[in-house]
Amino acid sequence: MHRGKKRKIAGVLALSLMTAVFTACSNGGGNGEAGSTSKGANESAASKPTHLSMFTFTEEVQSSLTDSPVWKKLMEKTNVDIDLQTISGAGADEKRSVMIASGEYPDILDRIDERFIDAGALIPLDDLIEEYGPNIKKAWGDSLNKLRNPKDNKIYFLPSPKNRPEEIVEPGGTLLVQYDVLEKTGYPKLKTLDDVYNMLKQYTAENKQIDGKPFIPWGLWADSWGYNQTVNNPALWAYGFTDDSDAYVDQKTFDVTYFNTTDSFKNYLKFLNKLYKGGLLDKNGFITKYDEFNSQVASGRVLAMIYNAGLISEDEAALRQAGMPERAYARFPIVAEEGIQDRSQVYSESYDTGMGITIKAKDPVAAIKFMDYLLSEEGNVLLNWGIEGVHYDIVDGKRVQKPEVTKEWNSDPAYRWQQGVNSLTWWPQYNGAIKLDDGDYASPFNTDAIYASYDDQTKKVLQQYGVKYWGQLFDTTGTRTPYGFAWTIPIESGSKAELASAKANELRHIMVGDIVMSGDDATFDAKWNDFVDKLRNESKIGDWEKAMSEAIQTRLKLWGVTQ
Amino acid sequence: MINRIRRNKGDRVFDGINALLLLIVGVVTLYPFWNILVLSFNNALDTLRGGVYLWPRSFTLDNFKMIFDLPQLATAFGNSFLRTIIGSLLSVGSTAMLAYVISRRDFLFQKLLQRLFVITMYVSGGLIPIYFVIKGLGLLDNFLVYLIPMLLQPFYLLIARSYMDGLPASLQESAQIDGANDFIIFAKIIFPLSMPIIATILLFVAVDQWNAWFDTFIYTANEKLTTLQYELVKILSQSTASVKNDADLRNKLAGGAGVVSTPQSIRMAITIVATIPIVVVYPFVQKYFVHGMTLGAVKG
Repeated sequence: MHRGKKRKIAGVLALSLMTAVFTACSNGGGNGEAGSTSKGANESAASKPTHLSMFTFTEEVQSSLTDSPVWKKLMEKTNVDIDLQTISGAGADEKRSVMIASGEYPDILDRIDERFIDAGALIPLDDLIEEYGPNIKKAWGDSLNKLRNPKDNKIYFLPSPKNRPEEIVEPGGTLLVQYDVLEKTGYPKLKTLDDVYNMLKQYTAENKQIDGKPFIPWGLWADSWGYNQTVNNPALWAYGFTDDSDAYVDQKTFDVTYFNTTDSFKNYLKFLNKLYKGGLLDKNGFITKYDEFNSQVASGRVLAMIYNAGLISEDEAALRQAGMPERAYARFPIVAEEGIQDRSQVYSESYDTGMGITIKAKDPVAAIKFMDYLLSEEGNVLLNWGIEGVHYDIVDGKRVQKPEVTKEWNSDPAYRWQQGVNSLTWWPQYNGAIKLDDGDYASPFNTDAIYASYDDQTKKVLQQYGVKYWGQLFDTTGTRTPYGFAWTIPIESGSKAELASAKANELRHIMVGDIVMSGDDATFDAKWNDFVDKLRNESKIGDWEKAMSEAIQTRLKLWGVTQ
Repeated sequence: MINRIRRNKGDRVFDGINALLLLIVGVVTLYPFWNILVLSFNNALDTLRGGVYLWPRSFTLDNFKMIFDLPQLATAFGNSFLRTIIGSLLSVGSTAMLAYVISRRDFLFQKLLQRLFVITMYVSGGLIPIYFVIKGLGLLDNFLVYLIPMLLQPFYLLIARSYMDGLPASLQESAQIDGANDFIIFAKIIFPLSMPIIATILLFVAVDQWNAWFDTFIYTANEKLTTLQYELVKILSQSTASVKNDADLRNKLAGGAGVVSTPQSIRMAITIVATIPIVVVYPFVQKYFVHGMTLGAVKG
């Protein structure tokens, strides 16, 4: 028995030894101190910069930014010293949860999301703006109301304002047609979907394949999020709606109908059906995956599509690199039939994220002053154009980017971050082809720059259509919706409405492809009716419609459209 | 050849099929990795066009350049290296010691202790409670956060325990008769005999340590504590983000000269950078897997 006891003691000893190892380790290197990195404001000496900590929830920021000349100048001008931390995309959600749970916030949160407001992490900015934000007030004007939180009517964050007319530098979702198709069919005027159909018919009659592979006359990838990009949104644009995603909003009563149940959508599917019957639709389009689709586009096989032009920029670069510049794409506005006005590029004032000040901020005044500077003309020019004489010159009273800067910029994607020029485009500032009060562009990323970047092939095609850049073919003056974009209105998670929307989404992935590939009109109609019936009765899409209608009413009230 | 048993036709057919099956399995396992290697050395825009399978069509080092251009690369690599070495050694040491204790049938709390550890395999506090524990221990922004939470993983503990259970009890008894105490038994007998399982766990933990990035992300804010995997995750999400960013469009429109890499190609290059070092370690540990089983035994 004696021996057994000894063993037990030894076992306990071994355990305690391990515990000792644990403790020793944690004592040995315990130099880390949890908590906010903010050192607080230094109120006594105005000359000493105020230290502010900032988290930005974006994966875009590259760490070279904080060493860049523009950043240093910004710090100097605003007399702050910002400790900028960026959160990469993967795991950002967890970081948010941890931040909210622990209540450890930096002074400024950038690219906040609703949860921070709900958690009470942010302070209302109303009074601060009133007192310390002359530039904010001037830039935003009445649009400031559009930032108000539906729950308590307060402003919690500042995004980049979109209240001024902006020229379209690059159209987003729109009709894309290969240059070669245009050239071989004599640069047709493309207005309606039928024009596109005829053009494709004409081209494919003589041209069957490229590099031994058959052409895909109409590009489609309807797997996962591609459904919205290549089926749902094209239908919206063809019928003259703005990007309301799944919602069809009656512009008088503001009642919402699920867009996929409307006649407009049915007619668009009819067009796809016509393409199918004419042998112009990729039969695998409804199951094509993103990577697969990109390789189809990048190898020059897709002749035309309605798609977001921004998503194929790399494919176009690949085509040009492969010596096939004639396979790049022209951008046209397109509608289903005469009489419909294209509103695909009409943008809208909807703000869902921005820069906010947290309850942990030691010196909210310094923070709001910093944000105010960003919206001043000087601040706006500094962050977007850079430093005069270094990044741009003033020629004939207009800002012109230095040629060597343009060259570096065009060849090195990291350049913007190393210099800090035009990099923080989501900050509360004007950017893009918007004109500032001095009558000059807010950023070098404007229509002049885009024209300079076109290759000869593109310029040749543009000339045929009598414009300098694609944006000129589009109209941005179309009526804006008074509620912004419907897709920016969030639906409460876990609600009946969200469930209905998820079920409907599943359903359309299964059924829409089948409807499109119907052999005759009778089958098409039968399948369509079945689809709408299932949306109504199985998915209970009415729940979603009701919730959306209410949410739009709330927003209209908030924005001062209705009383 | 002399000792070879005569083989009939059936044996040969069996061998043939066996070899063929294994070959297929081998190719299926190896090919994806080979393709990743090929794509990582292929021009990013060319990769977009598809059809690159066995050999790079347009050779480039740009994808790797993107990664090796990182300013924090040396720090990140150093930290990953340190945490892998120190972390896996510490972890193996503690796992083995504890496994020995709970493999001893004469230890009073053997069953209880073992159950307590098993529970943690199935029930976890979740991210936020764990965060608070880490914070409470003062491990935020501390290198030790890479080592201490990973010291013990119950799964490895159980593997080690069952292995030690299988060692003949008479070995320990004879050592005890010779006057060895528990520490000597552990150090001189159990540990060397458990080499195969120790090596296995060492490899597992080393891979875990090498691949870990989430702890860097959640628990540290100090750039000096960054790890290679975390930096790689960042590049990956940056490259994905830049596709969506309008301002980057200009590079792309300018004839593609500015596009040095695409998310897809960066993903491939990252996979290679992240995998190769740990793959290199494998052959050194492998011999223990094979040898270990025959080590030591009680003679009749």
